[in-house]
Amino acid sequence: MKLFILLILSLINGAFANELVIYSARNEQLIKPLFDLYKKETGTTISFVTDKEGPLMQKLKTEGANSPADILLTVDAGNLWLASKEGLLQPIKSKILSENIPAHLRDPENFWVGLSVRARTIFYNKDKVKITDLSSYEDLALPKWNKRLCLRTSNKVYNQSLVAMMIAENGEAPTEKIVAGWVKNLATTVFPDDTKLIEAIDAGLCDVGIANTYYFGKYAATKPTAKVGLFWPNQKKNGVHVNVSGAGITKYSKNPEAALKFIEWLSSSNAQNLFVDENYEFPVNSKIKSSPVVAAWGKFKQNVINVSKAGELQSTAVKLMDRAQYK
Amino acid sequence: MRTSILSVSKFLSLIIGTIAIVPIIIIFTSFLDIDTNIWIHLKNYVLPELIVNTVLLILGVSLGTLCIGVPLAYLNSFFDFPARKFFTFLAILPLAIPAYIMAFVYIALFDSTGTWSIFIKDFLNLSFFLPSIRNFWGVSFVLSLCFYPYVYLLAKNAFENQGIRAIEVGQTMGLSSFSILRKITIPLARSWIFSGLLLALMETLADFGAVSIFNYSTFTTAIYRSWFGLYSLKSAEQLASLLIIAVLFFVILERQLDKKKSYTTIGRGGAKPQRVKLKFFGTFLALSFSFLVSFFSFLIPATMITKWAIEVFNKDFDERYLGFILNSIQISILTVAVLLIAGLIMAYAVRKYPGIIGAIIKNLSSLGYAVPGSVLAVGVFIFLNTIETQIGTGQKILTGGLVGLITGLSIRFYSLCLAPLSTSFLRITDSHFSVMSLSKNKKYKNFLNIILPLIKPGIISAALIIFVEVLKEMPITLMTRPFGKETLAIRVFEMTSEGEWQRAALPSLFLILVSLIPTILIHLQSENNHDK
Repeated sequence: MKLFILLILSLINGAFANELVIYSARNEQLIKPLFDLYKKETGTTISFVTDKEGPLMQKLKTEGANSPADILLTVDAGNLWLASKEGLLQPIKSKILSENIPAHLRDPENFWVGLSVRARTIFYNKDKVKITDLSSYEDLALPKWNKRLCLRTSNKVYNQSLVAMMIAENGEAPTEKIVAGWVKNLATTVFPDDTKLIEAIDAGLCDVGIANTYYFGKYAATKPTAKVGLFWPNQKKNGVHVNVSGAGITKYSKNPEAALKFIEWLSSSNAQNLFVDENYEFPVNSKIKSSPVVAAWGKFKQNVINVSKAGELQSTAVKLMDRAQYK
Repeated sequence: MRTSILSVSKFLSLIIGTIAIVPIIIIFTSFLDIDTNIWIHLKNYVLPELIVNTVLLILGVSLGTLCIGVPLAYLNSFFDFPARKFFTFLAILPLAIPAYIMAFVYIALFDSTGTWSIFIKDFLNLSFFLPSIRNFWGVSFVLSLCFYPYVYLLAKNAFENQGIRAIEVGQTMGLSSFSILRKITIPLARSWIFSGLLLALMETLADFGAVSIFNYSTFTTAIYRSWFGLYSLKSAEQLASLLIIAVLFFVILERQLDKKKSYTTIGRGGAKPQRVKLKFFGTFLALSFSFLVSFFSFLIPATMITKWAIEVFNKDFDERYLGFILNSIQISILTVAVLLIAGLIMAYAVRKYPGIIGAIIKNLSSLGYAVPGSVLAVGVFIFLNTIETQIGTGQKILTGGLVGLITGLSIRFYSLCLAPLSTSFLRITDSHFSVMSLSKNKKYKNFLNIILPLIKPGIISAALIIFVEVLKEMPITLMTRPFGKETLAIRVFEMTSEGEWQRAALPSLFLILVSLIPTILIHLQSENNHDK
């Protein structure tokens, strides 16, 4: 009877023979072209499911040793940090990865690597702000920006990571002062997403705001006449805050060698442009050139504090933002 | 012979109830591990404001859904006016639009950088006329538009089937139409209206997408913030448990208020009131109200979604969409089938064998709907995975396949079938059961001949609501779908997860179109019935 049920169930579900299985929090439209190309180049079939990071990690955790997944692909280093802390990943040893990926964009304990770089930077309305008035994230807390600043909700991990990295850089108390200053300077209630924020800067509702560059890339592509300018802050200090989308090999991967090969391939020239250009991100591999649109934003100094700090300090950051009334 | 069948329906309803309750129990087990620091932080900085916000939103959405749903159902059940059938049909369609998409449409049009706002500001020079909508009023308005169909559908079931005798009694007593409405029609429909309202409120409590777009933090915001921001799923589940307890309290309260009542139809069960033809002024009012509701709840969002969908059509549409559509329909139909069977067994057993145990199981098992989707998804996934490991050979027979997906969705939407079905069973009287037991016909024949006609409106409402909700569902589908089983809702997720709302319009438009199929079928059928 038990066997019979099993037989029926497996018939309904169909038999899968996958060479590589990926759990991804990065959108299907951004990863599918890579999987197709990889299959063409190597013959390896990749199956994948997408979901939000939180549920995806719970799924991996619940499945334990039974999980079919070989690779966890997520956005934001904080999530990767959490995945390794929860014991969902296994360490990676690869010379290729250490060569292709700068140290601050990899896990110090080698559980995961960044594969694309996203910069969270300052945007301003070209009619209302002189570029010489801009300098740093910290500067946006000064009274001169009163009723001129716009921010996205602090529920979004990108802002949580930014504040976490600022804590790593400046310490908790000074950061809390800065965040409280931002909140005081808000021109309007916080926005649900970066695109809406850029739109509001364009419309002159706010003079200045903080957003990820790729949202600006997408916005400018549909609206070339936008009055929004991109500014690289903290260039005289430690540099622009960057984060990564990246990957790790799952602890119970049935095929870790193939998984490693694929991640190495993602960090290499063939894949890097396909991985980052569609989404206006920066290649993690410094030998690879950005797309012309992204390159036109100019060179900038990155903050080289290891991005794993974003995870380590995230809950501290969230509590700090709650105290500072940053919604 | 009879006793064995008795125990079958009892036994099955016990199993069904258990399956629906286990994921909720899993969520409650989070209390075994409490992070006091997080709770102190939440108490000091987060919860006070959010609890106030949530209570206000509950009041706002209650008021909104009742003020739209009940009058609309009343107009459509008792009166006749031009284009009534058309508006009856439009009134259900907002269910097909995911709440966060509706929210985004309204933000895109009416927020300070929105199309219409700019028009009003720059062209009409009426900047004072521009209240912000990213606040309590905006979110209550939009959520009421999204969720009033639950109230509408159930109220309509009640009105159309409460029988004409009670109203005639009122008329012979010389009561005015308004008094009849207040003293007879509405009280007789109370259980139905409450069930619809409860569904609307549970959806509101569980919503994260729409409230975030309006920048309105609720209890659910705290749940997700604890999970994704503070990395504490346990605290998130503890918060969700409180939500469940609040809803349970609400249900018990209503049961106490409603205890002494019975809803037996007077006279011929099927006798429906003749619709009164409205005069000029009445027609004007009825038409204006129906039009305004449809205009804001469906025509505006549907037009905007269509416009965006056309803009991205060339870029995003490909042959895979046929697969998305078929997968969506398949999953919806299977879930409807499973839930109708489960719901009928449960509602039948609870009605046939009234008692405290049945009532407890029924009420507990319907609470999952108030839990934010992703939190419930984790509970469901743990449940499925445990069963799998118990029977399994290490193969992913449940969590990797259609069976797991349908089970998960059935657990998620179990309340949606239970509400219309168990209210329908209020129409079944003890004398119906006596007739059945006297009849020489086989049991199932009795069921088909005697009970089924009386509960048919409930079955139809349940099927329609579940079909449309499954189409839109994301968290469970995301977590338990087999590889490659992509649906329209998954497409919406892929686009919205990085804020590409316009691109999400294309799959959303298909969601609406697919939802039209059962809506039209059921509409045609119920209107035919009514006209007979």
